[in-house]
Amino acid sequence: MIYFYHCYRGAHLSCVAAALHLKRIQPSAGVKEILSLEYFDVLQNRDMGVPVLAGYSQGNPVCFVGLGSGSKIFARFADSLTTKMQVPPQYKSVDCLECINLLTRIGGFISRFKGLKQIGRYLAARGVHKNLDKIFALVLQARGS
Amino acid sequence: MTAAAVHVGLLARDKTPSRLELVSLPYFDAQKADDHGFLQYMGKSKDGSMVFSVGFETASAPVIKAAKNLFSLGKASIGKVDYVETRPVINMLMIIGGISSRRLGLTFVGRPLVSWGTQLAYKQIVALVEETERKLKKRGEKGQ
Repeated sequence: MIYFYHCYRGAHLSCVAAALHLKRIQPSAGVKEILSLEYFDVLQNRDMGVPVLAGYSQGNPVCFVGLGSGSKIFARFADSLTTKMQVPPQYKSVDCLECINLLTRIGGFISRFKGLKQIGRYLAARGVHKNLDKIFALVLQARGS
Repeated sequence: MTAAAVHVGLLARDKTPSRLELVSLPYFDAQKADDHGFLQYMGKSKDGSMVFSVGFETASAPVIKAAKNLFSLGKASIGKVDYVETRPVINMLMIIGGISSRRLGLTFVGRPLVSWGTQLAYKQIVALVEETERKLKKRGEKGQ
């Protein structure tokens, strides 16, 4: 089973979801711990569609990826493709974009500009921290526990 | 969707289809935002390949890239799948018509515009399909 966490840029929500899945951070983590994640606010628009293998959970690959505005479309497409080609699905695709809030949106946007990176990162982390419970709920659902 | 219809022979290549022919095609101007991503089976091509149409909005590049990566990571063989991007042949009439019809629900305005735009782009659509067929044939010959 491949766990595929996706959001807009793959820089915040899905990256944190993968870290929660791999127990690299706890659902009670603070903003500092979120900021210290290796891939937090790293992926850029040009990286969209390229999954990052965050690690393995009980032998199963856990990835996160940015899909731009195609986060919802991707799940339908992958399911549709496996159904039509009669291939058993071996993945769980989790759309993390439903956990986005205004702070993450603003932080994510301004962190792309030189000179505003630090403040953008911090705001995005605050936003993610605010919705960490929601993200963890998605992870639990995906793990089936 | 029109390109897929041309590919499977639902539309003649040498003659621009009438508005009625276009609107009577399966799935023509029928998708809503929630349908994007679902494969729509159009039929079989001359060489027996299955032909589908699918809507990706503006996210075709990352979605296709991610799907390819996902299936190669899982070592799942879904067979030979070729993705053909049709966005280069879209014109302004098709965009305005599509938004009016599908997003705003103004089918009576949007559908004639989309049909008109499709008629104007028809030669390019046929050229795209023929280019795809040439590529597939070449690849098939190389593979033998």
